[in-house]
Amino acid sequence: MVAAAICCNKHFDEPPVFSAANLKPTISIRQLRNMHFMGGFEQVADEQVIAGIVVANDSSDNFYKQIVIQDSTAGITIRLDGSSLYADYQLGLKIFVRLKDLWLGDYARMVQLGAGVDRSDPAYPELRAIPQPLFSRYIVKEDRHHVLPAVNISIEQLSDSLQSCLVRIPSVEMPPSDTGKGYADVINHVSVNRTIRSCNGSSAYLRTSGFADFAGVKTPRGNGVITAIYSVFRTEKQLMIRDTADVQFNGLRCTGAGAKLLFAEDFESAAANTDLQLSGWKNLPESGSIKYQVKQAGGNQYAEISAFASAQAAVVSWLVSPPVNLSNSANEVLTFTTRDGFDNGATLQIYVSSNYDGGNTPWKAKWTALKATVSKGTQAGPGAWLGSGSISLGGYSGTIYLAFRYEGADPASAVDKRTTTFQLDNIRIAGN
Amino acid sequence: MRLAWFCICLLSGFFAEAQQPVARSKKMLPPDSLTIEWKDGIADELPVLAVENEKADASIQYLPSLLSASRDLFSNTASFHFGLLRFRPRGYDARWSAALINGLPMQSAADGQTPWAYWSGLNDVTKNMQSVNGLRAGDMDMGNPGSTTLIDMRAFKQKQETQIGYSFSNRSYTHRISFTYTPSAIRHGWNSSFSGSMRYAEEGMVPGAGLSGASYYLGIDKRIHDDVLSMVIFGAITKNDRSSPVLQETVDLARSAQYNPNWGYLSGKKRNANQSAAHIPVAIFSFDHRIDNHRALLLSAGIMAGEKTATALDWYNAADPRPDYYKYLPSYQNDSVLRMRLTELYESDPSLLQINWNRLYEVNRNSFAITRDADGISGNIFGGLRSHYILQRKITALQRLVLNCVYNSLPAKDLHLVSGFTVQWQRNHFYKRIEDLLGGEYYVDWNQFAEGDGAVIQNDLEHPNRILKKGDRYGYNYVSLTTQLSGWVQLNTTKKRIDAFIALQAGYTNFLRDGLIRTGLFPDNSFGRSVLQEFGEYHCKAGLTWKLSGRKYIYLHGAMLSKAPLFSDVFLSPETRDTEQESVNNEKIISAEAGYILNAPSVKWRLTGYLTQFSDEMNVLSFYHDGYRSFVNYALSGIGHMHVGIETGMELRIHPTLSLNAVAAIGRYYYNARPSVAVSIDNDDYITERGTIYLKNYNLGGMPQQAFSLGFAYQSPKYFYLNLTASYLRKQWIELNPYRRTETVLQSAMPGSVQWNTILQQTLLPDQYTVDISAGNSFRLKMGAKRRTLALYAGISNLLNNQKLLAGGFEQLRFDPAEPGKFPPKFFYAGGLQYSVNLSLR
Repeated sequence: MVAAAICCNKHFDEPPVFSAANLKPTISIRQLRNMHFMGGFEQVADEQVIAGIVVANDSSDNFYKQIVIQDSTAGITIRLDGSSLYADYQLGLKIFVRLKDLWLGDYARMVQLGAGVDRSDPAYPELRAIPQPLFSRYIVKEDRHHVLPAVNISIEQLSDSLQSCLVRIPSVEMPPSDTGKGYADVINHVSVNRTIRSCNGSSAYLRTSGFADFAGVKTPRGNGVITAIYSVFRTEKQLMIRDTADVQFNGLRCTGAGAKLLFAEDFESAAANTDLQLSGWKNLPESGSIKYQVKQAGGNQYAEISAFASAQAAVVSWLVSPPVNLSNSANEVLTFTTRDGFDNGATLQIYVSSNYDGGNTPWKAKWTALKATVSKGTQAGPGAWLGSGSISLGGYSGTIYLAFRYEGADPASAVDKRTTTFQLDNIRIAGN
Repeated sequence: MRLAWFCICLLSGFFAEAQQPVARSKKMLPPDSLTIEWKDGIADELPVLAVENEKADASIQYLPSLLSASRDLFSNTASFHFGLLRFRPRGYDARWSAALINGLPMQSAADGQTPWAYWSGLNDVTKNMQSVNGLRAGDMDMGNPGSTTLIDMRAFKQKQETQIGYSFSNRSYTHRISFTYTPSAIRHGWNSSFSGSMRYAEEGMVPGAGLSGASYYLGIDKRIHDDVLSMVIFGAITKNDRSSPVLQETVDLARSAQYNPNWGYLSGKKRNANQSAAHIPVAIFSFDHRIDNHRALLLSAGIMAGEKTATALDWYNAADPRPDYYKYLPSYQNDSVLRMRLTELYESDPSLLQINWNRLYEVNRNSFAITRDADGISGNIFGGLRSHYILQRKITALQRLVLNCVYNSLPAKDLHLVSGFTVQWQRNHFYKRIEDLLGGEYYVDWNQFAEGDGAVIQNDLEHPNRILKKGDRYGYNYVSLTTQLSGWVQLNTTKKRIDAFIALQAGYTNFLRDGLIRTGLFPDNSFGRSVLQEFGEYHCKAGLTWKLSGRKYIYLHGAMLSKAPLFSDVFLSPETRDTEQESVNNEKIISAEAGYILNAPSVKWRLTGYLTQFSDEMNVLSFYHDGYRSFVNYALSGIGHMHVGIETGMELRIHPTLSLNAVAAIGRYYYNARPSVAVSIDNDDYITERGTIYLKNYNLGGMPQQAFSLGFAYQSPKYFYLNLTASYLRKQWIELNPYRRTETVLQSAMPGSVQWNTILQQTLLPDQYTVDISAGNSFRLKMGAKRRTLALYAGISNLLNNQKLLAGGFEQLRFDPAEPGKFPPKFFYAGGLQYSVNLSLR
């Protein structure tokens, strides 16, 4: 008992929730920026303080070792020598920066705040980031959850006074050569500039780091609003996003074109009530001899398959689509509809392949099952059409094939019969 | 013959004098504190050396044989005076020494360590201790190249008395109280004994390092004719805040050699992130059966089961919370102005060198995050404050079963035959729990070092994206299973002028890893049982002693052994997978020692020379490799080292009350083989590089190779004694990083250049000296009808309060060839003046 008493855990209080120091800004960020002459370095000698709201940090690793703050007059980038800065400096956090001893400088005309100047290469002096132990000496946190002060603007209005500001530019899009590509080179970790342009032709770059979490995400095809930090590299205008949520290109492009239909099949052009035969389609039994047929009901044609009354112990049948080219699109989505009837356990599965050779033995290729909603469990004859849900093919590029694989059986034993009827219609792949 | 004036064990000598004037009677160790603190301070858990042999039979007409475990000046000096600076006898690793309790081997089958902590604090009932040093013949076990300590904790061996003790110290604990009660034998041959102690320190010598501990013991015996059936149950519940080795830079910034980076202020109190706790109860049953006057059998069985745990910070997508992380220190800055500014800052604000708990809580409280497909359920979204920083508890839960049998017989007048058999089984379960979410609401069971997403980052593939709350198990989860069998036989012969012995042991060891989870990185070789590793072992030794006279002896011993490697040296990364070293082999030792002993009334002298070769050792190091930019497993094999040297101890009695003593250990411990290395990336499991470590003639680090002491001891005819000893230790190198001695590292350096030498040179610590003093007295009191003894003892080590006393150091494994100074060595400081005062009443 005594032993238990002496060895008990010391209970540690948790600290009180943080409350901010009582600081007031003495100058605006614009006044601070005005102290800088392009190409030079200036050390702040006085006890000056700026305040700003964090509008960008390293949470997706597009920004590296820096945060961007903004007040009502301007924004500025602060170089901080640390990683996972977002854990300390969340978006919407208001901070004060004690400026005394800090340095202003610019990197190819992009003005930044740092702790010193690296002149190890005298030809190219560089601003030094603030060392981690000094963060709390210079930066004082205030309260959180401030609304981010984004500036609504057009591409033409982008100018140096908006450097490091969060800007919101409506009605822009990427040229076709930049859509459906990764934001950056995720393999080699190389930054990439994509073009953002308005319908009247003015443009800026969307620059993304190869280390960004979203570097491999495909760029959208539509038109819409981009929210980004404005940055410059010499005379180049650049936009840096925090996350792909900053790019909302869901509208029609300048030409009026929306999402492209890449593939569609509704079986209306095929001959009804016979084995399905359509240009480019493969209708191949792997086991047994049952093929997909085209049927008609209420003026609608669809594909159908069933092992019913086949008297074959194993029925495996493939319906393979013509090749679909995904090279010039992004965010492709597959949809189709199905019905089932007399369900007793046969299955219909949907696969995608990018290495199938188009031959007559699709089962020898590598197929990946797609998570689709397929109608099942209907005891009576086929009922209502069921949508498959939107199945993303965004992870695929180049030429792909779709396959519908039916698996059933009709042996003599009644309990082993799996002869469900499946019907299939309205297969569509759309992308942008 | 009295051994009472031995300088180190003065108190025990004193007790011998005061209470049991017959010299060859049971004697006691000095008050335990010195011994125990010394052990507390040393991770290696070296055995306490030396006690008294009570078995020599004076009636034998032959010259007496050398006492197998006489109290030895050298061993005591090594423990009590050199121990502070990590002196290790002959430079051996702790696993080459062992301890037996009631005949039962205590050395762990899984890691080779002797768990002295299991009975820490029970000094009152571990006084029946003997030690067999070096390659001598033992009579309880086969012995070890280092030493074997025999402890008899059985109730009937305890002194029948009541003892209350109190100690006050500035070492690892502040207060210690103990109580031991051994009633007079109950009727019908029953004996019992009880002991308990408690230790406590709000903060020890090192800041932020508190301690609390409680120990208990119960022994019961039943004597049936000449046989004794006994049971002992004991355990130690300990909890202590740890300190860490430090960089010279942080010591300079903190302006204190006792700087400890493991703690920080939280709500005004010092909170240590690295706390360890242990409680492993032990039960030993033994049956001492005297078959007849020539034959005896000792059967013992032991069960041990419990946990040892240690906490540490863990973090995910956040800055390193450790205040001594290299990127935070001024030396990381290239810019001299920034470096100066940081130096000034650290010097003006010592809290920057400690953990900033408030910041960790603040970050966790503002970390709302959503985890998709939580708990492996597709579409399940879990939102909440996801901790970036947590406190983890690493747990080793062990179960161990040992059966042992020793058979002693005297087949002829001058022959003594001992044989024995041991069976051991041990299961160690290694896993982690969330100790504290530090203000957050959950954590996710992901491996942050795995690169990729989805399945790869899962610690447990069968439970992906598991949402973790306080107390939940996470991270690694595996078991090591070890089985060991061995049998031995030893024949001693005692002739008129010569004693001789020969001993042989054969053994078998097997072990395996059993993974309890399937990890995303290694789905095919993380779950289930690994291949069973099996090893045959042998150990043989022999010795001769020439009895020149009853006072002079010359002896010569030799041994050769081949032992299974350790689990941790075979499995490259047992936390993640069951990959083993490419080839696994036994470790071999060949050792010889020769000595001269003089036991004259006014002078005692022992001189020993030894030569030991260790070969084919293996080791696995894991560290962040700046070349691969990844953690690597650095699997070494074929490590060989030679230990050669002399040990001597001389005591001169210059007056009946005064003696002088001198001790010297002059050794050289060096590597004499070039180990091979196979490097694999911790996340990939294929070998990226094979090479050679150019290690020949480098010194073994971690202990001084030479140690000298000079002391005097005063023993009054009454009860007072005083002892003063000065020690001088030198030739201590820091432990090597083998990676620095490879072609890979040296490829960019010019032979002979400054960079080349900086990379290769092994740092030699400065010579160091200490002065220790101890004194004691005891008083006889009459309390009512009973006579009591009050004993007072005080000891001070490092009397000169040298704060910069270095106990050791090592080269960091992380190493950047381009900047050899980027990851400088870390050091252990021994602490300044250390005292303890002990009071006991019985």
